[in-house]
Amino acid sequence: MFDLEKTIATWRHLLRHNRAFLPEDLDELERHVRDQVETLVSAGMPEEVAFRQAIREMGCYGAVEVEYRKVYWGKLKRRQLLFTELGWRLSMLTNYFKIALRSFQRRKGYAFINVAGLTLGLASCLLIFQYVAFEYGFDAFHENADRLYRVTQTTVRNEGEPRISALFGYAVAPALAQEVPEVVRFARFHPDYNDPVIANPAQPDRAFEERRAFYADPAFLQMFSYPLVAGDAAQALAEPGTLLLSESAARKYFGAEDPLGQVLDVTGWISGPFRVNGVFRDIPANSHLQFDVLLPMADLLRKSGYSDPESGWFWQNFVTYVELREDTKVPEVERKFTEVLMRHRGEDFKETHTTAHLNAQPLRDVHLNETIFAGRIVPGSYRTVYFFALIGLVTLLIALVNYVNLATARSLDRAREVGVRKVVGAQRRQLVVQFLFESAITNLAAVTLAVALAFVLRPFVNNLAGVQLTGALWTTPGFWAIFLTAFCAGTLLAGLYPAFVLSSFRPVAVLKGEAGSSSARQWLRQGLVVLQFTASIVLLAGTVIVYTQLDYMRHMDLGIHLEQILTVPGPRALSEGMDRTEARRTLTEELRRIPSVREIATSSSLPGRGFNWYSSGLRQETADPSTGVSGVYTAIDTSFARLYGLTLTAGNGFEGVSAPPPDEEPGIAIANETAVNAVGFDTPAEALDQYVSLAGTTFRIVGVFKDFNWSSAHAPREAALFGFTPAGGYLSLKVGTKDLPQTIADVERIYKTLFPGNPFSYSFVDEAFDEQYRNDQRFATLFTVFAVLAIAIACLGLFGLASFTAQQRTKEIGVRKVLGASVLGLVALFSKDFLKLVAVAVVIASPLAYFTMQRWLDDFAYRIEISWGIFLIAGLTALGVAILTVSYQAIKAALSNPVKSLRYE
Amino acid sequence: MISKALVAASLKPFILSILAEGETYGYEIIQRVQSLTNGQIQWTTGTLYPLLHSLENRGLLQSVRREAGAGPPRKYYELTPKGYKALETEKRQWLSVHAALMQLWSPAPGLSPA
Repeated sequence: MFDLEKTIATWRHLLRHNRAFLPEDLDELERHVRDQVETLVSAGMPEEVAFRQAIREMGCYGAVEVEYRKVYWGKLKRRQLLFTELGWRLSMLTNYFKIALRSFQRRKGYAFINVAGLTLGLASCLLIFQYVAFEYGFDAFHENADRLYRVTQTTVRNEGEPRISALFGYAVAPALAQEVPEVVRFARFHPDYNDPVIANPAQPDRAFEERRAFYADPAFLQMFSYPLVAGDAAQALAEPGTLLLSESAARKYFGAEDPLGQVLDVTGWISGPFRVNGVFRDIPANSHLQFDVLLPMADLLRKSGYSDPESGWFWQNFVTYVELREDTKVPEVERKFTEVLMRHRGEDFKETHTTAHLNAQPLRDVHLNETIFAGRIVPGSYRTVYFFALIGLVTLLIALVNYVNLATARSLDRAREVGVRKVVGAQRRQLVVQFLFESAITNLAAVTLAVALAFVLRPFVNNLAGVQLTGALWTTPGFWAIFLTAFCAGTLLAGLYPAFVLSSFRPVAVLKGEAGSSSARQWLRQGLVVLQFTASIVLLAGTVIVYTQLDYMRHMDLGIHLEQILTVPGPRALSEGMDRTEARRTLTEELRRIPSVREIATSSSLPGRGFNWYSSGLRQETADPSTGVSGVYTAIDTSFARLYGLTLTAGNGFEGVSAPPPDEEPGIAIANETAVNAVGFDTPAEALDQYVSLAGTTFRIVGVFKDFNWSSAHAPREAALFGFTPAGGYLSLKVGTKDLPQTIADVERIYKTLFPGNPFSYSFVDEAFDEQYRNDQRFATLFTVFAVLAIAIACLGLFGLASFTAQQRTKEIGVRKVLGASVLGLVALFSKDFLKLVAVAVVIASPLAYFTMQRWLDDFAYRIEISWGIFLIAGLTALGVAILTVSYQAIKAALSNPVKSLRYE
Repeated sequence: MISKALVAASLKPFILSILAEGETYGYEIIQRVQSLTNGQIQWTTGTLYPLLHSLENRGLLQSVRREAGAGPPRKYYELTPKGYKALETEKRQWLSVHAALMQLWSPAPGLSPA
């Protein structure tokens, strides 16, 4: 029913904020309108039409405003107007604000859904931003970062695949520094491959195995910015027989005492007493080099193997860093580096059909570049970072799409409001501003909550992803620039479209209830739902695939039995006069006494822990040196094969062997089938008693193992040689499952009795092997989190849409109920349309997910085949969730009282 | 349709003349002008009311408010003595322009173009 008084009141209210009109003017105009309406009505026109005509004839307010203003400006009201201007602007803002708040209050559910969806999307985007910044920011804290480079060598053998390595012999760095003027200084870095045992002689139970002990040149601390909290940086590492500790390591060995000047006993590649010469701050998480103990390079170079001048270019275990002059051109330098390389190794290369060149890798590139092999220094990956950045953007996109979709769907609800306002002449501009304002408020609320959420969740993410996100992001100006731009873009994008859609409605059509469902808009809305669900399903399918692959890798048949095997690192620090082999034998005998220990073996490395040698020179001894292939080496004893369930397909292996052959003779080794094939034998039997050469050492093949996996399923099986050792660094014990803690306690007791001063630690081979998949596990978890998030946001959107469709069709549902439709039938009818959309999404998402995940799986040597079932699962899950979401509204609508809905007007 | 210039020029004369007939209010003025010109001139609120205020400020008009049923009271305007004088000036100027133009538009008989 048209209410003239009410409408006039609304109209006045609107005009009240037009600054050109004083209240008296408004009275005048109102009077004019009333007079005109009176005239028209008495001529027979209905009141509503008369009113609209009167308003229309008043003309565009802009023009009226101009006319009024012309008069007023001339009257020196300028000064007054300035204040009224300010007052006007303020009251305008508060007005928009009030209207916005009121509209949120009226529809609390909708407002909540919108803010929630945006917040989730923004929060995840924020966290991912931080993660990306973290990964990209590795090593940026070094003062000299721009001038520091790591030397890498790209080698191509026999026109095979190029291999890039960052490991060199010890002579490379000094040669480069000497022969290339652009090099200011160099620093080499070398792990202690024995994981040395370090003990505080004053307190014997403070003995620990250090996995992060490295040897470094003195220049290391000058080139890199690892600050010392005690000791002199210029002096540190310059003196042999000294070492540096991290703060936590110092606390570990000395408690609250001052560590400077104290002596520690080191048993590793170099053994002996070392004096603590300095303490450095714990290495931050965003440094690619992680270490707790630093030892002087001079000590390492004394070690046999490195003292031979020939080995300077061959034993490639040193990571080499150089600092270049300020203005050098890197390609120039690389060229000079390669010249130096050729000068020293050109002859060899020619012999072995090898080509190689050197590169200078910028320090900041080191962490993420996973193509370069650097032994123990494990990189992150550009790919993973890109991948997650992509996921973050997709999640944000879904959230934004949600917002737009819901807002336009809401148009039906607000159409009445819009209609009334337009009837009373509200300008389009005002409406647009109003809606933009609301959009801005929602965005602001979402942004604030997102920031808070990201802050709260940071420790969880750190845990989950094994990273260390810091609050540093907040202080980088670049971040704020991007963030604010994104915020403005979001507000405008998400606010403009609905604003224009809503403000373009024709008032009469709206009041009659016809507007808002143009087919173009329907298509757009549905298209957006499909988009959201497609993204979610891709993520879901991806998650299933990732988990399946992970499961497959962890449970595949490795050809080696890893269950119930306890491993103990052998004693390192032996008392005076004890022979290693003797020690091992004694220990083994004592341990055999424990009833639950079924078998004992020793080896130089363990499955899942990599090998001892990595070489590219595996070949038959008689073959041309240029035909060498990649091969690896570790050493085992006679019981090893039996303990781990390895099968020999040829020869007797180490059966009956108790000692290695004398030094003049070549060593003995068991090869695996891959090695046998790689060096050119046709059958395992053919290889028996033949000689092969690996890294310059000759071995006689005494057996061939059936292939098994020593490492994770990421990489294909290597060609491996297993040499003989009676006293390897690791003891493996096959134990019974009953009363495991007792068994472990017994082992510990014996160990400690026989070898005091050695830290006792143990692990289970299968658990340690599984550790290789830790990163994959993390990846899978993160992936799942985002898949769930994406679907949650998509469902929020669906929920909102469903509720408004329910509203729109209230009458229809009421009528149907009266005509006898069942609740179930109504639910089905109602859900049908939405489920169709989800089905379309499944169809689109499946091939998309298939191709994307194929690329990811390509990285694994052992991988699953993507089967139909996966997409079925993902699709059904999405469908199920969608059904649940929609059915709530459907059931609510179906159960509502038809009388109420039919009376709704 | 009458040109804008003419409508603008005739605003003041019309208002002053209509008000000379007796006190009246905005809406009535607009209706009067519409009927006088047979619908060829239709003033809008933006045209009329600011001018009424301006004239009142300059002292040519004065206003009084009277209740008029529902809504705000009506503002009735009437001419002040100054207004009457202004009207005379307008009339004089308009008529002299008119006389000049009439000389061109109604020449001596026998000289009309083919």
